[in-house]
Amino acid sequence: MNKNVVIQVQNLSKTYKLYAEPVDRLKEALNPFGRSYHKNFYALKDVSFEIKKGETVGIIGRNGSGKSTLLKLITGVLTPSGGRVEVNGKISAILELGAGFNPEMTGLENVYLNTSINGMSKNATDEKIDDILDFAELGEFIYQPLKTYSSGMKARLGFAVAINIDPDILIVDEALAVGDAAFQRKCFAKMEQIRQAGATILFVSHSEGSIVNLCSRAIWLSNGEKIIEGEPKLVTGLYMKNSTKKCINKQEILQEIENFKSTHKQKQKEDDVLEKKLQNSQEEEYYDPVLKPKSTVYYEEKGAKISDVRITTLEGKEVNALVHGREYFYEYKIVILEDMVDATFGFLIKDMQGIAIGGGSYSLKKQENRIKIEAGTYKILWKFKCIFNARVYSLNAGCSSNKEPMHRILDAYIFRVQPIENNMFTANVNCIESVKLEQIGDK
Amino acid sequence: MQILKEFYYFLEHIFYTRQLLVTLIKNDFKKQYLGSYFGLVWAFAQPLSFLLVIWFVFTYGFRSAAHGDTPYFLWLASGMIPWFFISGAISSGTNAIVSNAYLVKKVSFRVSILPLVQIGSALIIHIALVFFIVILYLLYGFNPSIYWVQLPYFIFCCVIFVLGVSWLTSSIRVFVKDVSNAIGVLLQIGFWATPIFWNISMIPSSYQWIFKLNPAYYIVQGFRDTFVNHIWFWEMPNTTFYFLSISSFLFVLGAVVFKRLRPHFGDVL
Repeated sequence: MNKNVVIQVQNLSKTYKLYAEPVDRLKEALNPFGRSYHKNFYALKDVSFEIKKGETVGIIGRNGSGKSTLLKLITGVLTPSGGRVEVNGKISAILELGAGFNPEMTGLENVYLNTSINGMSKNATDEKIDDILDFAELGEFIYQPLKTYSSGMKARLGFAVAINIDPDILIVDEALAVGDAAFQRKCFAKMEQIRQAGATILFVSHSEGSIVNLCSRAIWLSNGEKIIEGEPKLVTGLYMKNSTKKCINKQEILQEIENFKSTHKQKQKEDDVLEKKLQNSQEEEYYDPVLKPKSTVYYEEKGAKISDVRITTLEGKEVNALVHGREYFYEYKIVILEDMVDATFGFLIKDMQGIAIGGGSYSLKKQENRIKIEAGTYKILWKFKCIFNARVYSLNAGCSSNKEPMHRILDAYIFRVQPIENNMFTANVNCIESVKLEQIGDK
Repeated sequence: MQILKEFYYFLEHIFYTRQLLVTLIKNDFKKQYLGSYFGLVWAFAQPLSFLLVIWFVFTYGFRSAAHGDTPYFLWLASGMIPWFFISGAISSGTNAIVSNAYLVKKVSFRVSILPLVQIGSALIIHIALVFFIVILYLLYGFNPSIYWVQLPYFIFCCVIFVLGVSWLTSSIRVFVKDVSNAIGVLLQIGFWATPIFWNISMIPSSYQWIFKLNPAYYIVQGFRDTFVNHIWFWEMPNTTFYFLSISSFLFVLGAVVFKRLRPHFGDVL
C-alpha cells in the first residue's frame, strides 16, 4: 500500500445473511462441511476507493444506502463478506450517538473507559482530560450518569473524546446533527484544526451544505453501490437531483459526468480570462460571456420545462456582472405541457459554497388565488435588488405542481457582483442602512 | 497446526490489551457494587451469608461429624469457596458478550477480553474469600501449613478452566439465547454432582470415576487436599493429568470457537 494512502477499500462487499431461524447462523458457522443456510442481502456491493492522508472525504446517500455499514467495516466493528479494507493509522470513530458509552456510568467514568478502549493509558487521559471537559461543556453534569444526558450532551461528550485522542483518522457518522449550531460550528472548526495537523477525516452527512463546505471529495452511495466519487459540489448536486428517484442508473449518471468533464476543461481556461476581466470592470453592469455556470444540473422534466434563464436590467438587457444596489430582473421561461394545479415557481440564490442566501417561491394559489394554470408558454420575472457583496453567486430555478417538482435547474445561471468602492460590508448580504459613530462621553 | 496458530495470535492479542483489561475489570467491579450504599460489602455478603447459615446449621443443627481434626464447617467452606468462583465466573462469563453489546457493536476493540473481564472481577472476590478461609483456619487454631502454597496453582487451574468454558459459552450465547438458561441448570446440577457437601469416599469406589470426570471435582478436591487432607497435587497424577488435558482442550476449543464466531457478533447483537 502506498504510504500516502490511509484507507484503502477494495471490492468491499457486505452481505447480510438472512436466516429463517437464529440458530441456523450458528449451524452454518460451525458446520464442518460448509453447508449454507441463508439468503443473501447486499448492504454494500463491490465498493472500492482510496483515501489519502490529509483528505476530508464526505459520504452521502439515502437512508439504507450502506453509509454506516461502510464506516463500520472501516472501523472494524463489522467484518467484510468480500473484498478488503486496509487502514493505516489510529482510527477514532463516532459511529452513533453515545456509542461505546455505558449509560449507568458517569460522563467522567465514560471518558476514561472510552479512552482506554481506544488504547490510551490513564496518565495520557489525565493530561487530556481538561481539553475533553472544556470541549464537552457539560459542567456539573459530567458527574451524572450518562443515562440522564440529552442527545446533544451525548453528542458533545462523544465528540470531545473522539477528537482529543489524537486520531490519525477521524470518522464521524452524522453524530453532529443533534448538536446545536454553535456546537456544530465548534466541531467543524476543531475538525479543520486536526485536518491541518495532518489527520484524515471521513464524514457522513445528509446535509449537502456541510459536505461541500468541509470535504475535499465526496462519495455517493446508493443501494450499497458507489455511484460516483469526485468534487463535492458536483457529487452532491447530482445526488440531490436524483434523490427522489427510486432506482439509480449508474451508467446514466456516469454519462452525465463525462459531459460535465469535457466542458469543464474548456471552462477552466476561460476562467483565467474571466479573472483578468474581473479586475478591470467598471461601475456599469454588463454581460460577460465567459461567466457561465459550470455545474448546471437539470432535473427530470415532468410536465414543465424551464429554459432561457437569465438576469436582465430593468430595460431588458441581459447582464451577469451586476452593480451593487441596483435593481434587476431574474427571468425564465416555462413551457407547461398540460394544465397544472397549484403551481408554484421558485428561485434561489446561493453563494459558491452552495449556501442559500435568498430566494422566493411564487404560488398561484396563495399569491393570485388561482388554482389552475393552463398549458402554454409563460415567462416569470422576479424583480430583485442586488444587495449582495462582490462575489459570484449561482441561481436555481424551479417549478412545481401540488408540491411535486415539475422541473428544476440547479446552478441555472451565475452572476457576479462587481467590486464595491470603499466596501464596508462583510459576508454575503448587505443589511446595513447607515452607520453612525458618535462620542457619548469621556473615558 | 492452523488452529494452534490461530490460538497463539488470539492469546497474543489479549496480552497486548492487558491495560484495558485492568480498566475494564475495575469498571465492572465498580459497576456492580459501588452504586449501592454498602458498596463492597455486598460483594462478599452473599457467599459469606451462605457460609454463615451453613456454619450455624451444621454446628448447632445437624452436628455433623468433623473430618478428623477439621471441623465440618471448615471442611465445607474449603469446598464451597472454589465452587462459588467456578459457578459465578461461568455464569457471568457466559453473558459477557451480550451484556456488553454496547461495546461490541459500536466500538472497535478486542471483544475476546470481555469474558476475561467477568472472570477477573469474580477472581477478586474469590481471592478475598480464600484469604478469609486462611484466616478462619488460623482462628480455629491451625498452624499455617506448607500445603497452602499450592493454592495459587489451583486458582490458576481454575481460571484456565472457566476461561475456556466462558469463551465457548459466551460466543455461542450470542446466537442461542438458551445457553444462559442451560448453563444455569448445569451449574445447579454441578453443585450437587461435585463432592462439596459430601465426600467422594461415600461413593462405592467402582463408581467414583464417574464423579471424577467432572473438572470441578479436581479443583474442589484440590482445595480440600490443601486444607484438610494435606496432599500435594502431584501425588494425584491421574486426576491432575486428566484435568490439565481437559482444561487445555476446552481452553483451545473455546479460543478457536470464539475467534471463529467473533466476526458474526456485530451482525447478530
